[in-house]
Amino acid sequence: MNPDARFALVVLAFGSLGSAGCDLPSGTGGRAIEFEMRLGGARSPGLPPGSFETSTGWKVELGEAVVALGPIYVHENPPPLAEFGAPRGNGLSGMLWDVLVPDARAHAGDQHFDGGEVKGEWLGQLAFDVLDPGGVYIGPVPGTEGRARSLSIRLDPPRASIGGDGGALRGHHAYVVGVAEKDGLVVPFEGGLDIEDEGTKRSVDGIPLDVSLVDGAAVGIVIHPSAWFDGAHFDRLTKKNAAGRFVITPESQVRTAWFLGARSFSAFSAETSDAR
Amino acid sequence: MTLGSSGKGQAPIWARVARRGACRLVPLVLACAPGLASADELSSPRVKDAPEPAWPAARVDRSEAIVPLLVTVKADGTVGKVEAQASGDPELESAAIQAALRWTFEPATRGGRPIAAKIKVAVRFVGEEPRALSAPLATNVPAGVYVGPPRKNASTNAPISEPKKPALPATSRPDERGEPRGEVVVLGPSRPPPPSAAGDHRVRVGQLVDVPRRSAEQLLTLAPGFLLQNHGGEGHPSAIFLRGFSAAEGQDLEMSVGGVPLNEPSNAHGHGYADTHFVIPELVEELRVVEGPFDPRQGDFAVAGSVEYTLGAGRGIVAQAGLGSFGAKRLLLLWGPGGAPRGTFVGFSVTDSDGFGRNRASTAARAMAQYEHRLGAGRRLVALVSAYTTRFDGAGVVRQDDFEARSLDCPKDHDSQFFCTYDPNQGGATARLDASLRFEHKGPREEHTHQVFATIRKTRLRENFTGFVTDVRPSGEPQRGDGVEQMYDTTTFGARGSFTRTVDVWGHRQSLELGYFARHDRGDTLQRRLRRVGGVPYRVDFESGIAITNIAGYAAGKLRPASWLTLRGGIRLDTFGFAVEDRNKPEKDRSGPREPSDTIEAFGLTLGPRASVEINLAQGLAWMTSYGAGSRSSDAQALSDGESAPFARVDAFETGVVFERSEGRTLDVSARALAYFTRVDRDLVFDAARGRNVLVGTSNRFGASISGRLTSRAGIDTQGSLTYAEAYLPEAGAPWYALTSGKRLPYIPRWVARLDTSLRKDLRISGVRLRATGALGTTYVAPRPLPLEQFGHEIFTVDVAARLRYRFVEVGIEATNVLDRRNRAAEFNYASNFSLPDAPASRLAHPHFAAASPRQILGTIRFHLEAAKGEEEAGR
Repeated sequence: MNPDARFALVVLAFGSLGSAGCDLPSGTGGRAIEFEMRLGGARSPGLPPGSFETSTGWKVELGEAVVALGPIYVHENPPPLAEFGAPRGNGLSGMLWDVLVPDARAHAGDQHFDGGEVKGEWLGQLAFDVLDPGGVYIGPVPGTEGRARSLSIRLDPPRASIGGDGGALRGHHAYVVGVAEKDGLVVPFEGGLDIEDEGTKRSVDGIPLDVSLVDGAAVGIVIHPSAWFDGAHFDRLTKKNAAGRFVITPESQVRTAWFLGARSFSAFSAETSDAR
Repeated sequence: MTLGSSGKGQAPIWARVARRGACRLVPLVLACAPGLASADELSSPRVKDAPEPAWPAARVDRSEAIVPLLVTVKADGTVGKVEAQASGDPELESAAIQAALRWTFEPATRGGRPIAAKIKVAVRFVGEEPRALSAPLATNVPAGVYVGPPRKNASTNAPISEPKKPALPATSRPDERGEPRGEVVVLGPSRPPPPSAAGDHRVRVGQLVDVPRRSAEQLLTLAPGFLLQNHGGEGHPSAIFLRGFSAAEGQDLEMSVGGVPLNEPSNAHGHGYADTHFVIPELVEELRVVEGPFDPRQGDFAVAGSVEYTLGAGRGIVAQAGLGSFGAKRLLLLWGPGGAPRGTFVGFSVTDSDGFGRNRASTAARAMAQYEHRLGAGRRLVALVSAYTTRFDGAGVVRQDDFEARSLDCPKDHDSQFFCTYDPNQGGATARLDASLRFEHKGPREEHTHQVFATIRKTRLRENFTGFVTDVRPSGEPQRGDGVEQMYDTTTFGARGSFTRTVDVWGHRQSLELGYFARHDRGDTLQRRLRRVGGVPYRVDFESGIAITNIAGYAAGKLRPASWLTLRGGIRLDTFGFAVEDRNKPEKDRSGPREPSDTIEAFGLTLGPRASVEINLAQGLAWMTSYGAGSRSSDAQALSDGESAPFARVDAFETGVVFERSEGRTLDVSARALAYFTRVDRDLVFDAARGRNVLVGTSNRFGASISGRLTSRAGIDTQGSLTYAEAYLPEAGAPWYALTSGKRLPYIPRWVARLDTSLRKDLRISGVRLRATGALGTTYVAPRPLPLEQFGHEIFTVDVAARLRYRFVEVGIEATNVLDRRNRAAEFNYASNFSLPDAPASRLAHPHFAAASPRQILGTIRFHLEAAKGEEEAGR
């Protein structure tokens, strides 16, 4: 064998070695995977979609409810309140200890939520019809194998590339048309929600989740419109539009309640299932 | 001088009988002229040819020794019997006898007729150059020899150029016994200190300088296991991978040039950043690479090991101009004044290139001058000054998915996308001045070295790893960009030295060395964020004034209780004092207005024991096992006031066999095989969001390497190495011996192979004598583990060079990456967003890469103006 051939053989041998190595996990942890993601709207038991009663006693029936959602990030860290309520010991002594010496809570930096490593993400944006009983299948999204404990959802203004019926948003982050009724007072209403670009206002962080992400695992995100107007007083709406509906103006109490409700933890929940 | 040192009427006559090679001393033979007149009187043998003996190649201990010989010169002038007389060292006796057997003489005569005669000579093996770690390192050149009377200090003798052939007196009685009447002194360069471990490589560049290398840092690949990856531009030092360490630009590798330390503490780009680009590659004679912290002389940053460059140049003038692809231009001027030692030289170099892709242009100028003055009596003074300035652009990284989608803002063909860039603000500039003055003295039993050095430097680097991710944007505005500007503007003053004492005990030479090191760094380090548009700074990440003092002392000893056993070891104590002024504080706090700066002070000390056992298994074959504890000081940015400064501590073990053999003057062979384990308690790994390395905790590494070099006097020099390395982040509580516990550290190359070969041949074509040179260098790196259980791409490069010299003109062509492979200089996995400032940012790790150089060709023309005869070089 001449030297050139020997050299080529050595190169080939190392090439094979390297190629063989590529077929194996590199051992660095956190394999790249794809998992399923869905969006759905919650409905109150025994009521049609979009029908619910608020804590202020209003019975609300939404005719339209669209919100621009996305991007969505799946984090490895649990929300800061996840450990609340878990006693430090079993039995009476544990509970007494919790009462007498409650935990002190603190967080590092200037953010209350540190999600840690992002384990999965969907960078798209969708005009989601909350009243659609079938929900929306977003599809497989990229992620990293391992346990995930929380979600972050962006509530950004609709982009030009938004999926779904972007026109239904009428240029707002969210748009609703509905009727509220309390003590015989019926208030038809309509309006859009705009969220200021200040700090983290456009991000709902720390939505609880507990899933082991692997190929084929599924994460469903459920939007609860009942949380949107939980503290609203529809009788305070004063301005009507041409269609005879009261308008949710930016300075109205209903808009403030909607802003708080739409960004609350109770506005979202997560459902998960293992890989099939 | 006479063979009979005390003989009256015997006048010394020196002669130079041969000179081979630019760096050898020649055999010089002295004899006495008997001055006999009668026909029955004797005349002594006269030497005709006396090839020089050499130090046994495998011999580690090169301390002075004498071998008395009784040489029978036959009537035909050849050497018959050679007997060694009680030197007590078979290895040296063999070397002396083998050389004497090759000597030829004009025979002794009686009454004009040739007769056999016996002569006595003493062959003294001495080292010419006293060496400390900081001193220029010896090359493994064959020794010279002269015959003469015993000297008080043979090491101080300058080469003798008297062109007369001496005569050797015949003994009056051939069977005479007694003290040697003359001596042969072997002026071979010694190799102190001997290897501290199997991974202690003294790499003579030698003929392998022919293999194309674009910078002095690429000479590191002459040592086993090095992988260099440049992601920042032509003037940016490469990230270094060695023994499972991602040593970044020097954080885990102590580096020095001519004893001047290069690592920059608390550099904004990375603690320990070391830039060797100021070195003109042609002036590097040797590298000492200690892989691991096994030598007490190794100091801060010697975690993966240490590298020391030794400078030197041949005599004469070399002027070279080069023109190549991508607008590359290079001008080189080297001058070694005739009659001066190789340590005296001047070098000047200017390079300019448009770069091999968008935003890769660079320009640099270098000047280096060193003067070596021999003071006599084993003393010398070496002064070194170097200056360097460069400005360069950097392309940075590109996302794999953008490259695959051809979505980068470059022409849509494959290569334009591969070599594209996101941010044209990337690049940098460096200016530095180094100066050093070193004094050395070597006596028969004592050596000492002292050196003072100073460095003034300013470096500015601009990089963008993440695009639009880290900026906390102002309300209602898009992100401004993640560009990072890092500046380091400091001055270093320092000194180092050592004192070595040797004693002869148990029939062997034992030694103890005491050394010191002191260094003070003072200046500013700063990191700012840059707008993507225009590169304007918009935020200060940190800005500090630093004053860091490192004072260290060490003791290193060698104990040789038996000829087969050598123990080496020592201990080093490093102390660090930090004073840091943080100038990035707010101008007011809850109590009201305040000054925007704080000062913190911290102190730390670390102790590093090192030990090594060497067992000589056979001639030229030794088994070495070593342990060493090294440390990396803390980045001043991470310290708190009054803190006991923490250190990253490394414990390293290594065992291996070393084989070295010299087949006379025709062939040198060396080979090593070793395995190692290293544990670091506070390791650092690259964090793209911060643009620097961050703490990740404890790490384990292990691996093995084999390497070898074959140098033939026939003009062939070839060296190869193959290394394997693994690195893990062990799980909490895992014992140290659970080597593969936890996750594998990403980015660490597991298999690295390197081959360098050079061939020089004298040709005669149509009566015209030509010198042809061909060289090849090739590197293979198996796919490296990346985060997310992924692997990177393999790296395979082939570099070739060919040159043809006629008289003083030499034309050449060099091609790097001759196969024009699309290698990736660096690969990373992290989150980035290079789309738009207001685009939804991906937070998932994604592959990124920095493109390595495509095929580059450089044509050169070189003029050699040799030194005048007799002024080639003072003795080494």
